Amino acid sequence: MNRELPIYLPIKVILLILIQAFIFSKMALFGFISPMIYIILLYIYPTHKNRSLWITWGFLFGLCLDILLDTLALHATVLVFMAYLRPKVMRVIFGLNFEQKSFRIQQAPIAQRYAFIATAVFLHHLIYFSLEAFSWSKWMLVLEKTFTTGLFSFIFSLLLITLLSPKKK
Amino acid sequence: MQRIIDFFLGNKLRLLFWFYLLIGIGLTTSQNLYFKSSYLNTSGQISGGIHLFFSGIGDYFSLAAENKFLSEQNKVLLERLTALEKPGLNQNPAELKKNFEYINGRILKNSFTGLDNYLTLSLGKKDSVFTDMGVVNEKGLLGIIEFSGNSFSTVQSILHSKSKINVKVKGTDYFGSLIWDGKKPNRVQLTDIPDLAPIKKGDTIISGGMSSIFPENILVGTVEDFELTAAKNYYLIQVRLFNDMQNIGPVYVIKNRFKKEIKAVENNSDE
Repeated sequence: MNRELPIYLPIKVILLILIQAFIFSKMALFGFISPMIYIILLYIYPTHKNRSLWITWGFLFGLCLDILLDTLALHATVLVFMAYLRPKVMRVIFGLNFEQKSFRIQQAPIAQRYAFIATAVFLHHLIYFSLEAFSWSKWMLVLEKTFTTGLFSFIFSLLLITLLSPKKK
Repeated sequence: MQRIIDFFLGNKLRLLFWFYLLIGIGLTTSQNLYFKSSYLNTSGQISGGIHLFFSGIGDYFSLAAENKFLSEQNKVLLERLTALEKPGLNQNPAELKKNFEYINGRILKNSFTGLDNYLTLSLGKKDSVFTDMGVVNEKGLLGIIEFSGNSFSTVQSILHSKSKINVKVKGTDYFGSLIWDGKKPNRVQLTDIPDLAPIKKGDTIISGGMSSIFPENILVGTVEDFELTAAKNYYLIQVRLFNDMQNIGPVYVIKNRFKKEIKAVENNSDE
């Protein structure tokens, strides 16, 4: 089956919200780490689509999570940030290839893909925990949480991507 | 005019970004209590139903009935315990029993990894659960109801950066405030205990009973470690919670029958 059909995207997005809210946010590795895997939205959402629509989707997706997790609008704000930053991050990591219409993240070399996910996770977590703390005095805690939670988010994101991506023929 | 339109069209993406960003930051950091409570309340009502559905999937029929029976029984026992532990001088036991009433419910959504954690409770105004009531389970303190909707309520967990609960060291009359530094979900901090207090590791911390929210003698945790603060007058005590905040089980909302009277008296004395 062709997994690039447009119908698959909304299904994947709804699945991501449910998996995040009901599995990963209820997880507590070592008692305090809840991985944030919904960041792979940045990986699965097509790059050549309308960018204003993409920012709007980012905001709405985040707001759905916020309502489920009682986090005011934290996820929504961070996703708007990430949606806006994505093209800039991609230009740094994928170089000029990214400008072409036929470009797909999924088809890029494996090292570049991993680098992209790692950068996205790091930026996302840093902004998320800074906003959550919202004070300079807690910078140590913010960094600590960014690195510990980030590491597990990265690992679980990779696993999920492998699970969601089509098999190579 | 043309230039203004051109400016907006040319910077559409950037303007949209700032628009959403300001809404997001506004919602997240708003200090307006009325706005915050109505927002959290609305989102709590929407998500409450969804959480109810998902948490219902795991409940087997017989287990649910059994749980209910046990929690009813606990409710009766807890009421009797509070009545027994603090007999007043001029009150007869039948009246005492009514001071604090326990309403049993369950937690639909639990969080403990953020800096400001909230729990969603399966009780609301229709179960006569209102703002500022205490929430406990058999192992100890859990939090205070922040907003109550019709069928669900949002509880501010003791794992919240603004949580401040009156507690004391068991067996002494030293009262302090329980706060959380945001690090570990099984460890909270006790402040405002003066350096004169005879503190040692393993001491039990219980609720102080200085507020109308929690009765006295509700378990909190044990002293794990302590040190003097920079000012050297007070201790900063690390308290290990009796409760496992990751696994809460059935909970009880504490209703103080005389809350209105207590408030009225306090307000009068302020004037």
